[in-house]
Amino acid sequence: MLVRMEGIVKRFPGVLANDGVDFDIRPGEIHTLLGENGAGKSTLMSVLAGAYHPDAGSIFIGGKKVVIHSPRDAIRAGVGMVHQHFMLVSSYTVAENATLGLNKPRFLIRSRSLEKDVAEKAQTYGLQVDPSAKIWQLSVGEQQRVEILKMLYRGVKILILDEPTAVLTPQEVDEFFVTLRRMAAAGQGIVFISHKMDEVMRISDRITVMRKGKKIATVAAKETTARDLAIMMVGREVLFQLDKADKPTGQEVLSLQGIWSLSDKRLPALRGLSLSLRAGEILGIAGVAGNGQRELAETITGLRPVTKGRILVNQKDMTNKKPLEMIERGVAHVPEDRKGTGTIPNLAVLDNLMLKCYRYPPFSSGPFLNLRQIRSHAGQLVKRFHITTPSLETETKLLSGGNVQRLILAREIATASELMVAVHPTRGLDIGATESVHQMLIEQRNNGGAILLISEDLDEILSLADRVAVIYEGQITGQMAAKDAKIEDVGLMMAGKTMEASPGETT
Amino acid sequence: METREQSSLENTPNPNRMPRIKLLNISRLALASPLAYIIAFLLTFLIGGIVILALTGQNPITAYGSFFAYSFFSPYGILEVLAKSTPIIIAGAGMIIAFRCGLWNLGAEGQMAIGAIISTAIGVNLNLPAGVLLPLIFLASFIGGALWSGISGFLKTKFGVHEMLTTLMMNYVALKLLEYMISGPLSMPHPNYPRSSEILPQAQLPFLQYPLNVTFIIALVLVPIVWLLINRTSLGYRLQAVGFGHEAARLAGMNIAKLTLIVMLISGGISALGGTAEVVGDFMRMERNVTGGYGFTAIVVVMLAREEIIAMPFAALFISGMLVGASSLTLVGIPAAFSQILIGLLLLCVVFAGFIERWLKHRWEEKAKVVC
Repeated sequence: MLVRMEGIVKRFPGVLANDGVDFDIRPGEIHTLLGENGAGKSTLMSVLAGAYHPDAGSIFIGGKKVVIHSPRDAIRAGVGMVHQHFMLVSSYTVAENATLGLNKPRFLIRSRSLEKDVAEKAQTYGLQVDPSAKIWQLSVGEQQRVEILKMLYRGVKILILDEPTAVLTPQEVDEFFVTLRRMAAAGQGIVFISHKMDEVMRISDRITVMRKGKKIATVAAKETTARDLAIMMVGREVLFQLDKADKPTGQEVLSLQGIWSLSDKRLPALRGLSLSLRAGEILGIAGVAGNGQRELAETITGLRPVTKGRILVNQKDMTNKKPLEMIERGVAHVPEDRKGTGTIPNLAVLDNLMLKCYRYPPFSSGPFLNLRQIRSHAGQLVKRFHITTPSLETETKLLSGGNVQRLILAREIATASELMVAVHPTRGLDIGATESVHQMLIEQRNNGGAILLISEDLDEILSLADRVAVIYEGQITGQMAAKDAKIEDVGLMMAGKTMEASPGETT
Repeated sequence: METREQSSLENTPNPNRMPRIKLLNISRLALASPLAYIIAFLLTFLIGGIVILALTGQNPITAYGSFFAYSFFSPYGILEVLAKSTPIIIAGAGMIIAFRCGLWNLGAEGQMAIGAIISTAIGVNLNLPAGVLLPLIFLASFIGGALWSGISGFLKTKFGVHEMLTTLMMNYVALKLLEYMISGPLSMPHPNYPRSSEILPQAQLPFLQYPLNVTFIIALVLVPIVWLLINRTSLGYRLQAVGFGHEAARLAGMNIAKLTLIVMLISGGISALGGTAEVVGDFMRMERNVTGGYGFTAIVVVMLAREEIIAMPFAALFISGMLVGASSLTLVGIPAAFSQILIGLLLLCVVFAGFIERWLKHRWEEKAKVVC
């Protein structure tokens, strides 16, 4: 046993992040910590890596009880953590970064021998990276290798990787897993933090599932299934089938007639795009990123001008109207960038909930805000849409992604919208939060709302949408009812049928 | 992170889990900021003391003693401090409105000069009854200052020129304009040095007790008004939304350009009243030093108050105290300019205190965001 953690308790203001968690790591194994965002995985590992001090519980390394005060302490004890955000000096070389903070070459740095040293270490674990390259020259995947190398160079025996695959492409993930296996074979203990089920099943020896700060179970990967893990993780059956009432659609809410629009780089991003959307219908827009999705959302919400074509909302010409006019015509927007444009992180939950309705009675009278009305309205929204927040005054940046997204949806649904443009509404959310966002969207549709759902997640589109349209190079290249859509066909259309075609402007 | 049945306000934070101070029932986090400030002040006077000791050989304690004894404990000194703080509070109130909207209006000095010019021009030439003349002076100064800083607002919204640069540059334009006015169009007949004629008696506000005058009350009334504007009006809500989250505000249908312009107008208008106050309350005429650098001092004051309108008058009083105390320093053989050094040091230390505060908060909340 390399490490044993017993009864770890860690409190934060208002939340019990770790509630008596036991955890252990054996040499040569890849032990996954699985759980939703906020389940306490990162907290538990930060305790082990010395970033947090536990309120209760003990840690044994190599059978000896230790108290870890700082990340430096942890590294000395053989525990190293690679965070989601890399901590590298971009103007330094790989070798320099690997030895950064070590007092090893005391005075003169002989870069040649240093590089040789680092290269040897890299070789041992199959971490392919040029030790003399500067960090800024490297891809994200390579930088991650440098982070790992940095830890190995410090001689850690336990390597903690916090959602390492989040930044990697599928090909890089494959490569990365090979490296992980190699390191495990060399006797390292590896903790892999993730919430991606398929990856977890692929790479793990053992899996520990956490939920709401508690350890649910530790199981061997061979003896479990993705389904069982999902149930443990969420705490109940995951609803894969959504409750979509079969309702006839209403009148046309949105009609785009051959609209053209420029990207930020002043290149045409939408090229005569046309589509139509009816009340009580979800239209899913599928497409490879950068084919005009963002511009599409922004033109409909009045944030980006169209250079040609017409936009009709509820039969009224709304071409090139201001955002406010669009809002007042009933257009809601769930933007791609949740924290930067969807909400104002430094303002309170209360303020963020009021962003669109503060100007209307009863929330303001004359130039003054009616705080009592605002509070009671915000309180109702928080309750109705299950937004978890310590108080209405809490700064929004302290909420989890799922709660921020529920806040945005609550605000947008509350402003009596008839048309909602939702862009990547569940990107980066865990299963539970994704499910609740999906239910909110479906509910909105069942109540007669029209939703334009722009998403990169084909499964999401196929399960939520009534109709699917494929966007390619700023045009709709095909439309079909979602129940008739085959994932392969949609995929082919997303690629523009002719495979050599360029994937369009990058935005 | 949570399931649907378990959520919302009632059952979230268990108050027992929060590190709270029982007596006051406030979170420990709320103490980070005062603590940081105390550290900043101690540090300022410690470093200042070392400088005194090293350069003059004087005992720093006696020096500080006479410094504060005069400013804050002698009747005349207190009046002087209050009088000096008046234009600073007014200019600071104007600046804070812009700062809250994320606009760096550093042009209070110039806006004050515009206010002073307009007040003098009207106060000298328009022989109207006091009940008409005084409101007219204040209104005209407000409009003049608003238009002056509105130029920066226009340049910002139209051409994207950063307001920090333009407002700062416009200060010098306005100050030169003031100099031209007192040696040209508004000059008194046969002056010993450049100055305007005295304003009409009915335009002169009385002293409460020399050197404190009525404009101090105006300054104090302005503070709650600005507080209301920021915290209780939809304009205040909008300007904060834009200040903290430009993109989100745009998305919510706010007209950023219009708001920028409005904010610059109001901000400059209020700041200009600082110059008016000096003319009608203190100088009764215009001289070269009528704005006295208070517009620049107001920048320090606003920083010190962290852009909080309620804290700003206190910061203004403290800084005024340091400026007033400077004259007593010469009595113990320390140059008066030393108080400027102290103010500079204080600003540095307050910036440093910001780091301390963030560090304390970080330690105490240990990133509460990971969890909720």
